[in-house]
Amino acid sequence: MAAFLVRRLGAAILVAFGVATIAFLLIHLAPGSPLIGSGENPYVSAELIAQAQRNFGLDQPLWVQYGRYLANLARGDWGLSFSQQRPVLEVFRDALPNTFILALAALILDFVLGIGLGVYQGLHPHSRADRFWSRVTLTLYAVPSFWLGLMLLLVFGKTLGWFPVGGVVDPVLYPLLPPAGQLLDRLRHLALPAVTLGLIGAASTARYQRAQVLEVLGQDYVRAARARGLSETAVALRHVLRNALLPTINLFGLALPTLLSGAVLVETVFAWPGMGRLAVEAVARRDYFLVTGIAVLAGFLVVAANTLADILVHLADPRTREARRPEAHRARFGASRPAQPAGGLPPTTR
Amino acid sequence: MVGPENPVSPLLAVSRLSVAYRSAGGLARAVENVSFELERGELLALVGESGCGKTTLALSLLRLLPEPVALTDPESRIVFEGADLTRLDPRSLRRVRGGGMALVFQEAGSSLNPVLTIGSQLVETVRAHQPMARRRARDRAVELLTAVGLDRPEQRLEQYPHQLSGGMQQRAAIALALAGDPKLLIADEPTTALDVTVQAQILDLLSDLRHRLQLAVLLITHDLGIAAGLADRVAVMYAGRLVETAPTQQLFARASHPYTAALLQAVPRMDQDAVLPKPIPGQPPVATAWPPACRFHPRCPYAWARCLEEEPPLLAVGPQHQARCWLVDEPERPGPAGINRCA
Amino acid sequence: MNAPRQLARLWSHPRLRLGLAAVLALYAIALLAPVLAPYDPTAQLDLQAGRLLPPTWAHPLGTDQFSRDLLSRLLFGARLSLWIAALAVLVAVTVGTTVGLAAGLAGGWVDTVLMRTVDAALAIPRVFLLLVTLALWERGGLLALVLVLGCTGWFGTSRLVRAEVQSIRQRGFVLAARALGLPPWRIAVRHVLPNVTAPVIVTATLGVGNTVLIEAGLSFLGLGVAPPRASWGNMIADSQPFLATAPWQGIVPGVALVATVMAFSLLGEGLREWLDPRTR
Repeated sequence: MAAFLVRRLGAAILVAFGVATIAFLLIHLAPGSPLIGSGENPYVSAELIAQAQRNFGLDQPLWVQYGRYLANLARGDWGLSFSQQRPVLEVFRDALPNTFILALAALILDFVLGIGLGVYQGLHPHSRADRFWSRVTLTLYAVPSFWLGLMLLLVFGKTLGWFPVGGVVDPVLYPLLPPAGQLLDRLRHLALPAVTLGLIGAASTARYQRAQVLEVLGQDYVRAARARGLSETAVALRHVLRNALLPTINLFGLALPTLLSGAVLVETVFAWPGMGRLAVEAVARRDYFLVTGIAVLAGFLVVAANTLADILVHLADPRTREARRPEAHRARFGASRPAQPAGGLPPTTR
Repeated sequence: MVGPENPVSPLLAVSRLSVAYRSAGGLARAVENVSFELERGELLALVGESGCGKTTLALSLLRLLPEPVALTDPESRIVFEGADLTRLDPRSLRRVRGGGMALVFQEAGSSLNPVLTIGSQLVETVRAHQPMARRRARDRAVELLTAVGLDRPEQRLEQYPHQLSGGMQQRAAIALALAGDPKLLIADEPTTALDVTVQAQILDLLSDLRHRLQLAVLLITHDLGIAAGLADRVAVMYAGRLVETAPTQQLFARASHPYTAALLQAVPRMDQDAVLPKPIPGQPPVATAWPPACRFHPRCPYAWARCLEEEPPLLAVGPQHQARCWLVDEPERPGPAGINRCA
Repeated sequence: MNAPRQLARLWSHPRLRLGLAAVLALYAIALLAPVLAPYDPTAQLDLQAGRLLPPTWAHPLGTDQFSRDLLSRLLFGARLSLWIAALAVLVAVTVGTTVGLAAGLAGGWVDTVLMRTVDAALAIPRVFLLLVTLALWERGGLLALVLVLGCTGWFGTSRLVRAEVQSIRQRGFVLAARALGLPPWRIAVRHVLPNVTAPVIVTATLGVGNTVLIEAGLSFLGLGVAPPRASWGNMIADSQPFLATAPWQGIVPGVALVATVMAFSLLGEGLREWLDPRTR
């Protein structure tokens, strides 16, 4: 276990290092240096350029700059945000909690709805309900998050007036409300953006979960459990679900990049002051170090989530407890394929 | 063999069992019109090449085939201890599964749930058939593991399937099959996935358990050699059909279906030097397109016009010995040694 | 098997047939946009009385706040979105296949460096990668957009191809070719490439739908297709301030997006089922 942890954390650090390198290269290999030709950029003053030149040593050779950039990053110095005139880290401190709350709420919705629906569909394959929900999830899968957000906003915000149309809290009323009212106000603001992200995530989670349940249903040990006279409930709960939910832990690591990407658009739609909206503003203002910092941070978060998911799978699956990687044999056609397609021959027809 | 002169009904009587799968290539008639009986304590070996429908037959006996894909003919009857399993309600059916008939799978490794300990799977099964305290079920689990010859049973209870070797996994799977005190054990190629030495041990175990627990066994195998060593009676299956059944001695002395004869010649023999096993010519047919009339005729060296016109019924060769071959009807024609000797 | 029979078999797969028909129809619309569109998509027809008109006979989908005809913009938007996505995926597949083949066949440190880089690049959510790049490329027009989308989209493909190469390498015919002393590039082109084609076609098809979505998102943020050119993403962005008064302006391009992405999902899933040897 200790050896696995060390190996996994080592790999995570290596990937995080790669993330920083890619970001560095993107800045420096782009046409023109980030600070040269920024005369037309109203947010960059002469001192800021001087400061950044000191931080990043833009006069030095590339490899020296690279070393200094990594050293700064390791010390927690993410550079300066031109547009906000303060350190990038400070900007993060304001925006990150908002994105965190949104992502957490969306993740809970995503997993509760997605797993519930996927398990239900998997246990009743090809039923009328299954076919109906498959169509729903296939459609949702194709819906752009920002458009879904706008449509929810149109129906539940503007037309019905059930939810506010943007922001984290009501700018006027919030300070006057009692604590319970303040919490309610926050939740009301959170509802639409979280549902937007959560629904779209739930669609793919449900499709994945359904395929997992079907795959496990086709396994010999499920048939063997039935052959021993166990009740359908016992088979479903102990034999099917335990195995079908294991790989879903990996989704937790995979859901984060999707959520963060979705957040960029959904935060913009709902004027949610998080990392996503920050990134869009930073791009619009050519705030290079802020944009890069956000990308690096997003990369770090994803690496952390994947590492955590790996460790969780490792803990939950008795087979991997003694150092065995989950098999990669499904690489060819992806993992989302059901084991037994409709109308196909079942695996045992010998 | 049920009749007025034999008031004791057999343990299992299967009649006119037909199973088909819906598949992309059309309807696959995996098992067609199979009838046989099994007495208490009897060991019947069901022999045939892969793809002939043996596993489908085994699964259909316990009604474990995937419902929307596999269709069981409504004429089929599976009478076990007097109850027709094809019309049993789910609850009673569950009692038969594991409690009356139990199944041992070809690959023990995949028939054991990888995320549950051996002990928890055993305890769960014991308690499904006989409500009892967890602690007593645990004692019973230790007994079962001892009965199948696993050493340090207490320790095995806490282990996960992947921590056992292939042979030990198959022993654990047999223990699981015995957990509900079945009267019939269906063993589907129980040794195919194992090393030769381990194979012999598992076969010994099956034979030993059978006598100790007075179990009836339906042993499914592609290997006539295994059948010869253990079985009281042998049923040979080809292309979804039973083609010959006989007491073991009789079958080996007078194989009357050319397919059985060919299978016998494909078994390597230690007692005769310089006799190389002969492969059966041609490919086994596929279930979506069985050959017309006698299904073996495209591969049969003795086939003549009649074999292409009409499928033979099971014809009596001797007492308890039947073969689905027109040669039984016309013994003067050239055929495998068994038929000529019989004639 | 001969080609007509292959095609007949392809057409007999219901999901594939639907997806193929939908995608072909979409590209037909994209090609014929200049013929089908009733107006110039960028023409401001009547700034006095023709703004935010609801659907009428003259304007089947209404007009936007600059009195441009929405149907014309939708059709020209399809043209842009579909070609950008297709070209970007072409770039991504080419780069990804090359990198995957190189990593899989070379092995050793080349493989390690390439695959670690891919790991790192996959860790950064794609939209953030796009934001960094687009911030630096200073709106280089459509070509830049295609290149940026292509260059951030190849990581998955390279992994897939590498995994495939690794499994094929162990198979008899490649071992035999190596034993005969054929040079690695020849083994790659003659033996490995044909085998990786099927899974790559599937991911590419699904990738086009995905890229349409991403391009729409970028254009929605004002970072993709720049106005006054019409793209579904910037049409939705334009509709935002008038959502309550002229909702059709935002609904129509969104529905078009959903339909397009679904068409590519259907085609991709259909191809996967059709090409997957296990379901044949």
